[in-house]
Amino acid sequence: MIHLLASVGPVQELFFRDNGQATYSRDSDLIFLGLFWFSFVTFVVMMALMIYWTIKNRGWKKGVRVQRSASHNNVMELTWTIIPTLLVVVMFVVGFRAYARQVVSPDQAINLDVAASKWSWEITYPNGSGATETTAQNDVGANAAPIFVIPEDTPIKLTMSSADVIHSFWVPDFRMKQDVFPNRFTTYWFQSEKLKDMDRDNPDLDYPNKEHWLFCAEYCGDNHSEMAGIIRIVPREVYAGWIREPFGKDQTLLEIGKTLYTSKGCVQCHTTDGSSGTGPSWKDLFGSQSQYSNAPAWTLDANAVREAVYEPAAKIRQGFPNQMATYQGRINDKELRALIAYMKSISTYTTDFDPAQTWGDLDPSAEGAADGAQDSGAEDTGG
Amino acid sequence: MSDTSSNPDPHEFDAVDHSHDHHEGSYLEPAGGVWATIKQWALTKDHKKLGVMYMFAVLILFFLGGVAALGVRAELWEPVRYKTTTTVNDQGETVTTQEVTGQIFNVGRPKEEPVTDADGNPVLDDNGEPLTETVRVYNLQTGNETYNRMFTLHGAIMVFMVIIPSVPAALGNFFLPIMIGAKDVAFPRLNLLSWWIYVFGSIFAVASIFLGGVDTGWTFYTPYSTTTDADHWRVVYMITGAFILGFSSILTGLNFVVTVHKLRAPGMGWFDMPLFIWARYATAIIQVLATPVIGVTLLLLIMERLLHIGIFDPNLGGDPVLFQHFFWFYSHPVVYVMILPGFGILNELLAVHAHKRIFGYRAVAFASLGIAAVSFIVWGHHLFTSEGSLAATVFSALTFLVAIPTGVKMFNWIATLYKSSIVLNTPMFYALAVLFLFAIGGLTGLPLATLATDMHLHDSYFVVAHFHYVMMGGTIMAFVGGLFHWWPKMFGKMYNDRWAMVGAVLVFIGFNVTFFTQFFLGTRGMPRRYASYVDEFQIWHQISTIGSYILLVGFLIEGAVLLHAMIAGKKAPPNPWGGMSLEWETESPPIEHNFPHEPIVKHGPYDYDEVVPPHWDPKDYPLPEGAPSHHEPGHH
Repeated sequence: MIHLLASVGPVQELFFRDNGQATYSRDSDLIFLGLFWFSFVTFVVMMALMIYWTIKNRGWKKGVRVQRSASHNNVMELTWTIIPTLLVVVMFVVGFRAYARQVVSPDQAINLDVAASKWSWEITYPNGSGATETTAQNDVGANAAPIFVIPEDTPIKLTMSSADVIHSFWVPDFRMKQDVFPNRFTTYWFQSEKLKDMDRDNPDLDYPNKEHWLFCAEYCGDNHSEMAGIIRIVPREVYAGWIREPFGKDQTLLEIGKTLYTSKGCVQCHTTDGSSGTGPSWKDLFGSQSQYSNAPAWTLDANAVREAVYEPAAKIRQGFPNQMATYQGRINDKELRALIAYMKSISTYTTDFDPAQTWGDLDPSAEGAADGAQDSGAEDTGG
Repeated sequence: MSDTSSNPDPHEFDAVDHSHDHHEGSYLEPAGGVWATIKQWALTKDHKKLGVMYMFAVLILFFLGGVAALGVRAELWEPVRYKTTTTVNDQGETVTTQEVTGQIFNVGRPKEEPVTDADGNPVLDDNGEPLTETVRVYNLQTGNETYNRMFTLHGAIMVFMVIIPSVPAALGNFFLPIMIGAKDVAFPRLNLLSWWIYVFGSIFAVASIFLGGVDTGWTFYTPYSTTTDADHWRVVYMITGAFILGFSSILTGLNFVVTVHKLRAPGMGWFDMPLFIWARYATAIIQVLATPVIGVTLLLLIMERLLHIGIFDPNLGGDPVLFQHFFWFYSHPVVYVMILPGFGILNELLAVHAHKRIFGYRAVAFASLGIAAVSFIVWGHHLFTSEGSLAATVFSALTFLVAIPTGVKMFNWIATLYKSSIVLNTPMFYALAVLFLFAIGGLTGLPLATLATDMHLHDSYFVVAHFHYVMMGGTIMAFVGGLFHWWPKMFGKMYNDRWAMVGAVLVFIGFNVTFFTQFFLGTRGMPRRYASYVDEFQIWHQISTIGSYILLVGFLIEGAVLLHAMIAGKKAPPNPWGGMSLEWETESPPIEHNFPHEPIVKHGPYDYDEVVPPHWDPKDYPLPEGAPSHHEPGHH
């Protein structure tokens, strides 16, 4: 019977735009629609009685004894206590069973790490890479948002933690969310859908894919509503190719730096147009003389950027709060160089910049795994 | 009273002895001069004056919180977007500029900037330190921050300063003693203290707003609330305000528990009490038992914020989920502090205007107590997405328990209308509106209690819509209905029922347009507390915003009707609706000590089919030309 309810397409569409996309979301949609129809019928019956009796019983004469009518009935009281009790037991059990499928992940899932911080999401893949593509501005938020690729028809398990306050990982199309804490790991799993033929045949796409919004659902401060992303479901072979080579060898560092600026969340605090946000603007920053509230002035060179990224509290820029979380382990050396390239490109204080330098130039040996080198340089910059 | 002697004979039913020539005037009669009157009100131990003062404070704060809500709705008319424009300047270079659109309110944020000379070098002061100046920056982030302050303001005011005291403190104070036939509450001085604590706490909270506001959300979740860069002291003020308000709530609750136990008029057993008293009694128990927990929690929060003692902040060794448990251990029961008195009013509205005994009186009374009891063990449902799955399962099961007594009440109210004798006036319209809205609010609680569906709906607009249907559609609508029901009693003046009905219909329509759309926003994926959204949601937000302004018009009409009645309304008779509970047996407005002598209860509050209550229709009750009103001196 519950499957009959689900076949009511327009109602499903009215509430959810589309079917739930993860394997378990079909169950929660069915339960929701079941509850909806139950509530709808209950509501209509109650309101019909209310309106009918209100109209029928209108009229009262002052000083005249009112009509006699029953004012209690134990059988009715028992009936409308016991029946709802049984109904809510059923609702609880059905809800619990579907919930168990939502929270217990299968063993063979692909494990990905999710790092949340004010106000961005990052997913770190097994190859150490993060998102390599971003949306345009004004797509899911005003700022550009990272796009995370996920292979189709695959169980995925996310291990999540936060660098600052509580966030919540919500993909509405999966009908599932989980809070992300600064002091413990939480997990989120889903089995991505199979791409349908209409997604495969879409001529507007470079490769077949389907995109889902990712939102932060736990209030986390000023730009809470900018803490968004896209989960892009892609064919397995596309994912496999991307995992081997997240950035193309021919992509310029500048181009990659621009992407990382958004995908690593720098955009949330640092503007590139000279206005100040939570942190200083990157416009004309590289190579400038920088004032600190807890350290002597310093020319902002590559090592200063490195220190700011890995040990942000070491030197606090004059006029800015100590807000930034460390990116130790979240931005590797090559990515840092790409970010510096981008910073150089928008600064008038440096001319030492080659816009044609490519990702491949950093990595002459084809075997060079990006994650091998990432942590090595951080210590020598402190002094 | 001389001016009531021309009325229809009030039968032996009436506790007011109209033939007896006593000299006690209305409680509203001013003292000698302006200052004496102010002093009389400020130091009053009269529960009626305190009730009236609570009521006006609540209405003023309701307006303030409402303005913030309208600001929130206006801001959501358009999503926040960047607009990039490319122009060619005089030198032939292309210049791209980027501006933020879709933000209406942006108060900016002060920032220290180093002063630089023409060459861009820092200017030094006399001590050789770089000179700084304060500039105000306006950008996407500061606009979002302004939005966050607005919704925090709305939530904090509406919860702590409006809904919690609305029915319990305002109408509860005025009517609880009268409805049980008492002269006053058990501890009148304590009652006065509660009022001033409420004022004091509200001043703290409102001060934090006028100093710039806080952006923590009314729930003060840690570690955000202990680390937010919004000015340190404002957060502390706001929390202190909520902490102080808690004491007002505890003392009022305590006072009412004792009053109900000890001061019922002779002849009034527990099951002869009006159901409003039952509901208010259940509420008082929750207030006394749950409020200390929030007091302790907020105190710990202040200690963490000021002294850096690690309780909730993980950086200091604390646990943020602990705060959520503490907070909801109070704030969930408090949801019933908000809704139960609303249910209580609904009982009175239905019984009096449908002239019928509430169906299943005992079931409804016990359901109030049942809800109060269950309310203490369901707090965990606010943490379904944050606590472990075992706890979530247990709390889901417990949460469903709430549905049972609530359903029982609902069915009994509907059954009350069967074979009743209804006058469809404004209070009755509000009663029916509450049934309608609360039914929706209650039923939409089901997918939130169900684990599988709550995983999607949690922290979405579905929740926003659900609790507005319950808190506003239930409590606030019942409160306003109660105002129209009891206004003639409180101020002795009738209002214009036709205009009141126009306002009520607008409120009802505006409410549904505003909040029904939000269910769809929620299921479609709109998170709460978002200053912006994906383009697809815009049409839903715009409908909701239009609704909120219809709601504004409705409430303005209602306010005008009530004020007009106070100033220029026709004099109200003691019992304009034909009610049977004790408040209808005294004067309108009641005399200083409520009743000339202790009333003896000879019939139940809802015995409509046994007793014909005396009733004065305002139309049959013209004042003689030039007759003095209660307010004018020389009336005795």
